[in-house]
Amino acid sequence: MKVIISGISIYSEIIGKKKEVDVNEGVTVGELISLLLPKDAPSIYGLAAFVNGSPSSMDRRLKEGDLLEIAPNFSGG
Amino acid sequence: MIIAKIAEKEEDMNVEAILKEMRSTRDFPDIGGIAVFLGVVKGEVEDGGKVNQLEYDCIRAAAEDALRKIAEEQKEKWNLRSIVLIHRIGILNPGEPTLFVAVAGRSRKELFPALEETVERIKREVPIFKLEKRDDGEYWIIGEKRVRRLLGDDRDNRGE
Repeated sequence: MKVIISGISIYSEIIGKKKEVDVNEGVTVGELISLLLPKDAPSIYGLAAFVNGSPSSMDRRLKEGDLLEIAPNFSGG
Repeated sequence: MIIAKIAEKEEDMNVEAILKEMRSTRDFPDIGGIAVFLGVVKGEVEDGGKVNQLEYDCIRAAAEDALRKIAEEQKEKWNLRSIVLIHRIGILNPGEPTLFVAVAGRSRKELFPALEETVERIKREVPIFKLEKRDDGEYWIIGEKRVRRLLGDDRDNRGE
C-alpha cells in the first residue's frame, strides 16, 4: 500500500520533505520510522510522529493514503 | 476568553484590540492585571551569529490543538479570566514579533508565574520548528540545539 511520508525540520534532510512510499500492509509507525531514520537520530534530535495531522503512538498501524509526519524536538517561541 | 491560534506572517496580531478586550471591566469586573510576553526574532544569537531571518514551520492542526490545550489548562490552573496565545509562522525578520502570550486575572501573584509557565509549555509542547538563516549558513533549531543545514543538495530524493 502507499503512504505519504514527510520529514519536518532536520528530518526533511534525511527522508525528504514529502514523498509517497510503498509499504507492507499493517506496518506500524514505529516500524516505518526505523526503516527511514538512522538508528541514533531519535536520541540526537528527538522524535515525534503525527498521522494525518494528529500526534501518533509508535504502535499505530498505517492505512493506505495516510500522511506520516516525522519531527524532532519542538522549538517554538 | 480564550484565543489560541497559529497566525500567518501577513496576519495582524491585533495586540491593541486584544488587550482592550481583555481589560474590559464589563466582562471581567475583577481584573487586576494583564501579564504579556511578546517574543521577537533576535538579530544576534548567543554564539555571536548574525541572524538575517527566522523561518517558522508547524504541523498546523496539531499545533493549534496543543495551544488550545495549554490555554484551557493554564486558565483553569491559575484561575485566569482570559488567556491569549498566538504564534506566528512564516519567514520573519529580526525585531518582528513571533509569539504573543497574554494572561489576565486578579493578581500579579498568579499572573507572573502563569505567564512564565505558559511560555515554557509552548516551547516544549507545540509542534513548531525553526530554521535560522544567518550570515554563516542555515541552522535547524532542535530544542536547545543548532544543527547546520546541508545546502545545495536535493534532499527530497534522499533515502529512496
